[in-house]
Amino acid sequence: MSGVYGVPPSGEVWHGLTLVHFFLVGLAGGSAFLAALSRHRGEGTARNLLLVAALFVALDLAVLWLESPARFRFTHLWLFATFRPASAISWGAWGLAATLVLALALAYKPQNRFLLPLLFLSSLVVLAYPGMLLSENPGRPLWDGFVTGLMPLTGLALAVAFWRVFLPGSLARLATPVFFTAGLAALLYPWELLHGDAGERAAWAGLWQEAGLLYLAGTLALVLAGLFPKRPGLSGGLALLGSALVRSLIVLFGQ
Amino acid sequence: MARYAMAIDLGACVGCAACAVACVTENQVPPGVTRLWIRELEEEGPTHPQVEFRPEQCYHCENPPCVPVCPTGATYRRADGLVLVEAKKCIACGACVVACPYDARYLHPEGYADKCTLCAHRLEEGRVPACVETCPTGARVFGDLEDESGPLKAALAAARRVDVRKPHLGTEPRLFYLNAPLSRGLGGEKA
Repeated sequence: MSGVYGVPPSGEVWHGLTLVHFFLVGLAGGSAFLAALSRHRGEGTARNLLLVAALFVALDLAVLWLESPARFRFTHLWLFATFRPASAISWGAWGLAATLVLALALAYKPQNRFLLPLLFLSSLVVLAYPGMLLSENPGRPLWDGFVTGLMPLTGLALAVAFWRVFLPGSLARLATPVFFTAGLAALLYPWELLHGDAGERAAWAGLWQEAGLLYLAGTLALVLAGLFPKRPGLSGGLALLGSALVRSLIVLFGQ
Repeated sequence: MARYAMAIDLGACVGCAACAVACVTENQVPPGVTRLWIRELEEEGPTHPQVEFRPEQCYHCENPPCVPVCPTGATYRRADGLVLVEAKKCIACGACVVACPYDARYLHPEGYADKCTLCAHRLEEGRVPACVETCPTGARVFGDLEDESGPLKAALAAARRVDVRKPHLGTEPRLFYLNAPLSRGLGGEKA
């Protein structure tokens, strides 16, 4: 290619605050899932977990509103009661709204039998939505089907990591398998791309050239996080850093 | 019902960008973004370099990936084949911009997704899109695919070869490139 007259319109559409959203939505979905798990087990910390999960959802919605160039139309998704099953953002928007309401309701009405399964479901939707959103774009080879699994795993790792750092006594048994699985998935991702078609190989080459070492650092941080179960601060910090790096790089370089 | 489409004869396009300028003027496209741009590709030929000037824009695909990803239905496809955006419904989430494999969309500074409309407002007045009207070499042909005796069908039938961009994606673009000068088809695309 030797040149372009005019500006090809699309460049990086998702950047800055959008990356914060991809971080927060993982934290929100993962925290809501862990809170539901905690309530299911009847643990004393469940109420606090539910409230913090609701806070993450609220923060995420605030970030989405802040980064939107159409702030005054942003709530149209709910005001018009629009739900389009083929649109991942539809699932994400309704999943976040439902998770916020359910987490708050369950924090104050712990005996309600219907709320808990609904919260499990809505938290899974929130965890899954970023991967669905990325993989529904046929022209973006970096975002292949693998990210539908990788994004929920790193989202869950984010939430577990957060709780390991700020509530060191919690989730000790869950941390190592979650961090290892997320790290392994992050390691397999380039391997899977390199065995894909020419577009996928070129997409990985692009990421590798620009930020390969950062991706590798994120992956290693996730794997290493699983090796220090008795040092929750270190383990959680590594997993937070690793998951955030892996997710951000995939979003940023896939566009 | 009409099924609108466009063809661009790459053998006739000289890359003057009059179409791009006409588009900006007609649609008041803001600075910094473009609905229509010209890609210039140069490849080594058997005896001398071959150059392709390729105008690019929204292809108004038969299976547009931008439509299903829209959470509010702001992006839609009309029965006549035009893929349009209803600005007042758009929440500017960027999903359609990312979904377009041709990078034909952008976020308008006023907060909605925007792109080529094939000058829908002109079509309602019985006129052709501004880019077609202004092309000095007649490289652009606009018409109805259902009109067997129309200029579009004639141009497609007379072409040495007809290409669309990224056919492997199954989007079925409704903008056809005729007579690509590069021997293996469109430059920078899979053969």
